[in-house]
Amino acid sequence: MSGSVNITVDGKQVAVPAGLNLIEAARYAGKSVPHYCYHPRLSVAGNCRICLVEIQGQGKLQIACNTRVTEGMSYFTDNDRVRKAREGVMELLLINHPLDCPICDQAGECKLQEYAVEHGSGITRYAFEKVRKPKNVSWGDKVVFDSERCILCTRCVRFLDEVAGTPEVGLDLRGEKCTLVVKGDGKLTSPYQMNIIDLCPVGALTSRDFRFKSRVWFMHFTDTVCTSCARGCNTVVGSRGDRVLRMVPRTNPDVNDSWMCDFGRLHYAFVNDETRLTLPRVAGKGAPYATALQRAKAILEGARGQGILAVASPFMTNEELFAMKELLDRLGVEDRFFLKPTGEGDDLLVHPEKCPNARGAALLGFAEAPAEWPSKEYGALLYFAPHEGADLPEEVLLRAKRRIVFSLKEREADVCFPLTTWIEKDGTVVSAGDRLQRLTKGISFEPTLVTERTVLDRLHASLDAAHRPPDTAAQAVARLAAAVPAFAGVTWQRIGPLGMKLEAAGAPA
Amino acid sequence: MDRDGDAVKTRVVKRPQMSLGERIYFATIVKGLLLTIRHFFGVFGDLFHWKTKTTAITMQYPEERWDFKDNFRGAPALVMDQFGREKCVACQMCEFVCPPKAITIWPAEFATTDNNVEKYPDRFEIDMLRCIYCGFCEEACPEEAIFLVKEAELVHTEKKDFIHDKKKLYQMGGIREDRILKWQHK
Repeated sequence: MSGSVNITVDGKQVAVPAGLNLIEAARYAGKSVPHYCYHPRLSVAGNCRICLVEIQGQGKLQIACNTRVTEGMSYFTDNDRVRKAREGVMELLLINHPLDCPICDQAGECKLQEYAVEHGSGITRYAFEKVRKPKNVSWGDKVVFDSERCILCTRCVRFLDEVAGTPEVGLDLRGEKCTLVVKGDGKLTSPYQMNIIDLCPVGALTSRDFRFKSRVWFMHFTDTVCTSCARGCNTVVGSRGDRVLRMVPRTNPDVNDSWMCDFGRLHYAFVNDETRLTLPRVAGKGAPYATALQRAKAILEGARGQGILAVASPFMTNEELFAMKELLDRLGVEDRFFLKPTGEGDDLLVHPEKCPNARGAALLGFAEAPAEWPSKEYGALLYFAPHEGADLPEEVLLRAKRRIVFSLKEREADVCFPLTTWIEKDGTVVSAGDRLQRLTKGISFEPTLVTERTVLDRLHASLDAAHRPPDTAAQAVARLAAAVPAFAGVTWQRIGPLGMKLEAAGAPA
Repeated sequence: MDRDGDAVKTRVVKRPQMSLGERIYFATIVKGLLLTIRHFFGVFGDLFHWKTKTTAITMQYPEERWDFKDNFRGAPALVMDQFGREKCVACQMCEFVCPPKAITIWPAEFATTDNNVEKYPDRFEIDMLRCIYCGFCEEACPEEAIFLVKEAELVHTEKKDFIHDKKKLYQMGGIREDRILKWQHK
């Protein structure tokens, strides 16, 4: 279907694309229709009945999710009949609700709470004993199920069937005894199973990992990108007290729809690791940044005649890689490599490159680490250790007289600088399909930590007094765009929260 | 004249003239001395705990203590139900509502899955140096687990003693009869 149709929503005339359902069409008129079972990326089930609207000319109320707009249609999302119907639906859904909001992780982002306030009557007329169903049922080591809170919307059933391709959950029994069950031994196996926790509009499905860690209203949310693989799924990171507590997907139709894999979602323990390096080490002893920078400068200057080996990390942002490139240009370093951790991918989201920015490193002139490293002796090594998945071979490390290493954990080196993780800095990465995406700073693990870009720029400025490093991420992007043709015309604003395709980079990934 | 230039009516007040007796001041001096003498014997009586009309109303703290009213807002404390079970489910509503951020809760999950409660406070701390005795925590608590008790004498020599932990809070709160019993019913 194509073109647009003219409809009237609550007396307001709007033109909407043909083929939309009434929930989506109402958004064009600035109206929101409540819904539980409807999800834009799943098939329509039409079982929650909260989205009832009155269509002019039709006697009975219709569900908005399963009705498509037609030319000249007029419907009401907020008149007395509709409000009364919604109140009735809310009363039905809440009849057997356990009201354990104080111990429910969903509280604060629960559609039952929101719609009960917005559309509910506020009282119950039900005088009989409530139906008891199984609570705190383990669906494996990731998902916990509470049948009493479940409103049987079947979003989880449809997701596992339609998106994940593993139909493992279904409805069992009928009427008030109706409950969700998992096939076989009652444990989920899908690598995308935790998406059903986000999909669940109520607190029936909760995350074993996040369970009782924090109420949602205490958390600070940051829109960023997952860095577990090159896909770059858009995420929202929840943190409290400068520690990451959870990661959930953020909708981006061009990258990850509304999903992300369980591995990426649970892959943040290294950020919260209390044994991380937070201050530089010089010859195995803690040292302030000024001392470490002085020592690093002396090493780089002393090694000029003997050659320097530079190994970047694909966990670095483009701006950091560019700052490194500028420094290496200044020093005249020829041997520039990066290490690329790889693994297995799948058809849905997981990418075989287990790092966020290998493409960015390649675009900025770093070569993928060769199988056979050059058998030269070097005066110095400048090495950014990948967070995990790959490491420089021992003999290459030993080939350099002096070593400057950036690492999450302390390593044996002349100077060891701490690394910052993806959630501790602003920057950009090039995800799969040459898509430029933004990382946003959400926490600062330790106030003492300085990002790699600052360290590189300060190192550069100590070697060259004329170096004027950029301050903010936006300035760094502008500097990068001006210097590298692949990033031509890119600005921090233009990338936006959803990222942009890097047309100038050319080749598809 | 006032601001508009009109004439203002005035009334002359005559100061009272003191009589001869008053001007000598003798009677007043004797009156003051008598008062002093009365108080002298009054305080003398206080030493032997004689209650006389003239003694001061000062409460003899700490032998005598104030009798607090039922709605007195003292230190917040946690209570248990009549079966000795923890009522707090670590919902953190008090932590959220607390204006000076005196309350900190570390929630934990029960190892067993056979009760309705699922969640309990692993650690519960109230910093009494921050607490302003507003009673919002008591008001916000959905489980009726935190109350402001009649406890106002918080004197410590160490700063850390002002941070009331779970043990201290339950010791202050004690047991409170309850009909909700979340542990048993839905």
